[in-house]
This record gives sequence, C-alpha cells and structure tokens, in this order.
Amino acid sequence: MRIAARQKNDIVIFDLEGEIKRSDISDMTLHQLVKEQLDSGRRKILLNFDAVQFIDSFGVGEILASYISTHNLGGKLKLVRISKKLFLIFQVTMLTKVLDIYEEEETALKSFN
Amino acid sequence: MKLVGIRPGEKKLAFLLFAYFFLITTPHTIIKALRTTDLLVRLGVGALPLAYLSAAVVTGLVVLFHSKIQFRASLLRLINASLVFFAASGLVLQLAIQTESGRRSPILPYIYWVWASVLIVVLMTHFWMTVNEIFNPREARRLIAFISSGGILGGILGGLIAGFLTRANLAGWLLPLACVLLLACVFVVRAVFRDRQRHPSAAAKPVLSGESQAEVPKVGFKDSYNSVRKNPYLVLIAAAVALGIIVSTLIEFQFFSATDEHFRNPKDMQAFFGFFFAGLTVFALFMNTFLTGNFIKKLGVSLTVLLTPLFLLLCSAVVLISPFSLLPAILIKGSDESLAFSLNQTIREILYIPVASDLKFKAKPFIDMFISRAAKVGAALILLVFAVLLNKQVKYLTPVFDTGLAKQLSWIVIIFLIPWGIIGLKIGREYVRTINRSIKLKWERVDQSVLDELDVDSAKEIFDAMESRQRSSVLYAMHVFDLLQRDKLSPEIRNMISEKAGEVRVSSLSDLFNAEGVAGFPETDEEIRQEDLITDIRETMSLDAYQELMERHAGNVLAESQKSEVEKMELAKAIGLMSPEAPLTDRLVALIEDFSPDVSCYALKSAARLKKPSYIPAIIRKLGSPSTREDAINALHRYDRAAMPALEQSLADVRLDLGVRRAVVETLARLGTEEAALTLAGELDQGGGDLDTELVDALDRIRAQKDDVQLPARVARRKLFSLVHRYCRAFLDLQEVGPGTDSEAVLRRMERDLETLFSDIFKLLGLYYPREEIRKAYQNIKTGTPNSIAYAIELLDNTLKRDIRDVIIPLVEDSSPAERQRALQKILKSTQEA
Repeated sequence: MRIAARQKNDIVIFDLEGEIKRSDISDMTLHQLVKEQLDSGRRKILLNFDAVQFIDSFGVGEILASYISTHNLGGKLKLVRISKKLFLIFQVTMLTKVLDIYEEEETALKSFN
Repeated sequence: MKLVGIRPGEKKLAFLLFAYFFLITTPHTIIKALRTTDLLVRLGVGALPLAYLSAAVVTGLVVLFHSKIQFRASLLRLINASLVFFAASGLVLQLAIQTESGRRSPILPYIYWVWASVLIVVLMTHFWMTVNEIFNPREARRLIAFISSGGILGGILGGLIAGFLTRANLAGWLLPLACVLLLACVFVVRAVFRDRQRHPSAAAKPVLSGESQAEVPKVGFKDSYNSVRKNPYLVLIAAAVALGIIVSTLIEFQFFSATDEHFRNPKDMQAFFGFFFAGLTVFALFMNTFLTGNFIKKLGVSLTVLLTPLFLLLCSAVVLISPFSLLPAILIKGSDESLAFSLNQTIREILYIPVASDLKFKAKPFIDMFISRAAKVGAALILLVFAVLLNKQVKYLTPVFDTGLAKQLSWIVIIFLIPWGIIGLKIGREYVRTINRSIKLKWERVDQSVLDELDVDSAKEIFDAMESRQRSSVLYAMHVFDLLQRDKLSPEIRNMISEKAGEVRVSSLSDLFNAEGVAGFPETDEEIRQEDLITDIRETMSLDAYQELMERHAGNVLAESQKSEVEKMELAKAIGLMSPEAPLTDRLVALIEDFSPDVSCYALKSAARLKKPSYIPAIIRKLGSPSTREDAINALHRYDRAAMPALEQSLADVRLDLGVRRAVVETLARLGTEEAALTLAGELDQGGGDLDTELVDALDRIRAQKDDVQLPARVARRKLFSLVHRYCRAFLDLQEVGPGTDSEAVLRRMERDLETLFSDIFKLLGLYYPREEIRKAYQNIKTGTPNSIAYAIELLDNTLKRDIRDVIIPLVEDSSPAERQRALQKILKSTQEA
C-alpha cells in the first residue's frame, strides 16, 4: 500500500493506493500518518480510496483507529471515492453508520465546512 | 495601564466609562447630602419611612414606564434623555426650593427625596447596563475595579464639594452644579457608545443562548417579571439585591437617627454629610484599589459574595454591644456604603455577566429598579412595624423614633443578614453553573460510541472472509462457519460472500465473487442444515481421532518452515474453533510467534477465543509490531482480568520496547476496569514519565466511561505540577528558538510537544475535577470565540482549587507575550520547589 499526502486549505488528503492489508504495510501505517497530522494541529482528514482495491480486517482497524483518534480531538475524518463493492461491504458491516463516505472529492471537501 | 488591568485597545473605552461613572456619582453624592439634610432638618428622622415608601412607589412607576419604553428606544437615547430630564427637573426643583412657599411646604422635602431616589436608581442602572453590554467576565474582572474607581472619585469630589460649599455658605449652588455635571455626562455617554462599536467583545456573539437584542419582541413589565421569575439564578440575584437593600435601609435609618440626635445645627449636619460621604468613598476607593480585585482573585466570585453580609454581621454585633452614638453608626453605615460602592457593586455586576443579553436587558432594570424599590418599601414597612411592636408613637405614618429603637434595629438587621449569606452561598454555586451552561461541549471521545454502534469483530470477520477466498477454500469455509456460529450470517452477508454472488443485484460486485471451488449454502432447508453443520463440526473436532490426525498435520506444518503461509493460517484458524482442552491448542503459541503477520494474526484471534494463560507472553510480544498490535490488544482484552498480572508486569518493565508498553496502556484502557485504572495511575505515579501522554489519555478514556474512577488527589496533584513545570519549560524554550531553516523543524516539534502537554494537563485535571467542566473549558480555550474563551477561563477560575488555579490560569489567560513569559517563569520556579 502506498500513501501520499496533500493539502487543500486546512484539509489533509491521503491518497491511498493498493490494498490496505497487514501483509502489505509500509514504514508507517495509515493510523500513524493520521496521528502525525493530528499532532501537527490538523483536524480535517480525508482518505481518498480511489485507488484502493481491497482492505482486510487490519485495514478496517486502521480506518477505525484513525477515525477515533481524529474525532477524540474534535476533528473530522471522512472517506471519499470508495469503490461500489467496498461500499456495499461497508454498508453490510454497518461501518457506514459511523464513517462519513462521499462519492466526489469536491463534495467531501465542502462537507468539512 | 497594566497596574489597573487595561490592555492595549481598551484604554479609551475604559477611561470614557471611568468619566461616565465619575460624572454621575459626583452629582449623585451632592444631591444625596442635600436631600437627606433637607428631610431630616425640616421633618425629622421619623419622616424617613414615609420618604422610603413614596420613593419606592414612584420608582416602581418609573420602572413600569421604563420597561415600556426600553425596547422602543436605544440604550443611548434612554440614557441621554434621562440625563437631560434630571438636569432640567433639578433646576426646576432648585427654583421651587428657593421660593417662600417652597421653604414652608411639608411636601417639598418628600418630592426632593423621591426625585433624588429616582435619579440615583435610573442613572446607576443605565450605567451598569452599558458596562454589562460591553464586557465579558474576564474583562469585567480586570476593568470594573478601575471603572468603579471613577464613581468613587466622583463620590469623594461630590462629598467634598457639598461639605466645603456648605461651610462657605454657597450651598445654593450645589444643585445647579450637579445639574451641569449631568448635562456634561451626555457628551461622555455619546463618546462611550461610539467607541463601543469598535470594541471586539461588543461585536462578538453572545455566549449564552437567547435571541439578540434586535430580535427581541417588545416586552413590558410582565415579561421582565416573568423572565426573572422563571430563571432560578436571577431569582437568587433578585433576592440578594432585595435583602441588601433592606439591610442598607435599616442601617441608613440607624445612621440618620444617630446624626439627627448628634447635630442640632442644619449647616453642620449638611457639611457633615458632605465630608462623611466623601470620606467613605475614600475608603471605598481604597477597598476597590487594593482589596476588591484581590478578594475576587483569591476567593473567586462564589466566596466573595459572602464578604459583605459577613462584615455587616460583625458591625451589627459592634452596634449592639456598644453604647449607641454617632461613632458605631458611622462604622456600620460607612462599612455598608463603602462595601456597596466597591465590593458589592463589582460582584453584583459580575454576577449579571453570564446572563444572556436579551434576558439581562429585561431582568436587570427590573431587579435594579423595581425589586430594589420594592425592598425599600419592605424596609419602610419593617421600620413601621418594628416601631409599633416596641410601643412607640406613630403619627401619620411617622413614628417617633429614639436612639434605643435604632440600636435594637440591629437585631432585625442580623435577621436579614443571615438569609443574605445563605443566598450568597447559593448564588456562588449557581454562578459557576451558569458559566458552565453558557459554554458548550464541542466534542466527546468516540472510543466507546464507535464500539457501541458497530460490531467491529464481526465486521473484521467479514472482511477477512472476503479476503480468504483468494487464499484458500478451507480458510474461507472456516470463516463462514465462524460467522454462522456468531449468528452473523444474514442473507445479505451470505449472498455477498457466497459462490452465488453473481446473483447479488449489484453488478459492480461481480468481480469480487469469482473464487472457484468454494462451497456456498444450499438454498433449501437452510436453518436446520446450518444448525446441524455447527454440531457436526464441533463433534468432529472433539473426536480423539481428529485430534490425533490434526496433531500429525500440525507437526508437519510447523516443522517445515517452507510450508506455506496459508496452511499455517488454516491451522491457526482451525485451532480457534476447537475446545480449549483439545491437545492441539498447545500448538498455537508457535503460530502466534510466526514471522508472518497473517499467520500470527489468525493465531492471535484463536488465542482470544481459547484464552489459555500459556499464550499471554507470546501475545504480549506481538504488541510490538504494528501489523499484529491491534489483534494482540484485542486478544488480551478478551482475557479480561486474567491478563492483568502480565499486563502490570509488562507496563512496569522499562527494558521492554516502548511500543509494547504503549500497547499495554491501550489494552488497559480498553479493559476499562477499576483495577486497570489503578494500574495506570500507579505507573503514572511511579513511572519515568515516558508514557505520561498515553497513561493520561487512557485514564481519561476510562473516566469518560466510568465517572466514579478518579485519580488519587496526591498522584494527580504531583503529576499536574510536573506537567505544568514541563509545559512552562517547553514554552520558554520555544521563545528562545530563533528563525532559520534548521530551526523550523525543531520549532514545529516543540510546538507539537507544547500542544500535547497542554492537552495532557487538562486531561489530568479532568481526572479529579468534574470531567465535563474541564473538557468544556479546554475545548473552548482551544477553539472558542473570544467570549467563550473568557467564559471557559472563568469556569476554571471558579472550579479549581487555589494552588492549582494559580498555576493553570496564567497558562490560559489572555496576556501579552512578555506578561506570559514572566508568569510562566514564576510558575516554573514554584513548581520546581513543589
């Protein structure tokens, strides 16, 4: 999995690529990267799933841990451009009850305001 | 300017308000001396109750009129109109007094008294309404003492003018002079309102709920009454005001009785009043300059409200035990009036500040004018009843008083001081509650709410089931069996993960369900077959023959390192489906320790089910790796109390990797038991400090769920001073870092450390003070408007104990960089010693 960070105004966008799996983690996990941004005082995080094929239970844990860390500090973490199949699994597992998921980046960015 | 608490940008407005107060108290003091002498000399002290009654009734009517017009006209217009009215009517009164019929009239002294009473009430109410509209509690604390000094100086000057002009036989100029000063005040008031628009707090949104002043519908007396009646806090303020007025009136009567008895010459009496009022305002000035601010700072608003009734109680006792003469009367009247001008006035205005603007606009004039006048009526009636009860003569509502009666009145004063003190206590508590209610909690921890809303374990199982399809049909079948056992295999999930996924009416899923050779679920007779399946598999796994066979298989899989990862995963998963007594379960330790994170995680999940103590050391070792940490924490969480000894040992073992110890802290936080909290608190107390942030956060998380979990005060206090010390050091170090490319990264790191320490300090405070209040204060200080920050600091100021407050408030108080640096250096020194 590759993770690139970019910024739009005060929102940090993480572009995720590949599969978020425990057997495929790089130097830093997604949660660690999110925490680093939170430590820097940033409170608006957007995870872009456009290039994510699949995630395993480790990936779910990472997303939820990032969500909890961000919201515990009064921030917001949202997801965007998640594939339809992943979205369906998110729905069935009820992750959509907690996570804010958007189809388009523009809409997601606007939702932070 | 710093000495009197004025910050840059506030100077002009502060001085204008100072001048405004000065220009209304100077004529007020002159008029008070004139009307009192006029009444006492011409009608005697017995006329006072009737004067009080008339003044109260007329003021009540003025309040009614005021409540009708206050929403039709702006405050500026109301103030200017009143000033012009009183200046013009004062001149008319002066002319009337100088005529022969005026000099002989028995009614004119009452008119003079009533006019002066209305003037005092209206002008003072308008002034304090203006101050209340402009400042928030923190600004008020800093500036009201200075602004009040303007009034006190006005009192001194007014008294001296009255005294000296009377001595110089120029008393006839006193009332016209007072009227000229009132007219001059019009220009100052205009300047105040012009400058007010530029003041940031005036532009900020009101913190308390309530509509803005402009949106408030036109309301009258009834609305004002209802707004007070329905608000317990305002009821308490009204009660305290009423009791204060009753006490003051009774004391005033004692004082006037003594002066009436003492002075035979009207000129001496008028000069005495002039100098007395000047003298007591000097005392009030002293109080305001040196004591009021300090009392509020040291005792907080909640205790300072008790000082006036307590001090007057002492004075009343002195009056009772000493022979009644001018001296004890001066003591009690001087104390009452100077406290009323300084401490009481300041504290009363501070009490009004957390009330919403619209509510205040309705309630304050009602309390300050109507309630105070009604209390005056009450006091007059009390005086009359008291006189009648003591068998004194009463002629046309004017009893014949003597000094004996005035002295005994102290008992009645004491009777009213006691409820005043009790109400003071309640107001103090309610003030903190009102401040607390006026700021909102902006966010809450979501750790528990996420767990409450989601079945995380089942969600993860589904993701792993999907993922396993690409690895092995055996693994996939075991996942499906797992879901079946948990009763989580709903038709939707079954469709989604089964071979018949193509039938799911979501075309985009078609590529997800393309694994081959995987058994799905027959569509007929499903329920029975599923139950049978569970029973069959359990029975098969418990068979000795199965265990023997699988033992051999496990031996092969584990012995041959080249064996595929998938086979180990299958074995790890299968062991988790067995009974803990099954011999094969002993093989799980090796699988937990496997180098492959996937194998290890399957084994950790199985360990979480079997909960055999022998697995714990291996699980703890897996806390170190990011890829297995979460599953290891989950497994230990499932062990519950059984894992506590190992967790305690690992937490205290400084030789262990910091990552492992951090994960142990996380595990204890998830356990969330009192035992876990004690272990965390113990480490916080005894540990080396490298886990402080995690420990404080874990304890905060537990306290969010269990409010009764509290950090022992000794530990909390010691740790708090240590964190504050580190914060001050980090802050001062940050000031020393110069600009430059190299220092940029250092600067950012230091800023992050400072932020973390700040957050830790508040989490720690929340462990032994009410958590919600501390969180509110923290969140509003970090992300609030200037007003809500001020309220948050005020809340802390009234919540924290003095020693803690002394080191916390300077960290959050709005001050200049130089002031903050000095304050933090001082704290650094004091916390070092602590």
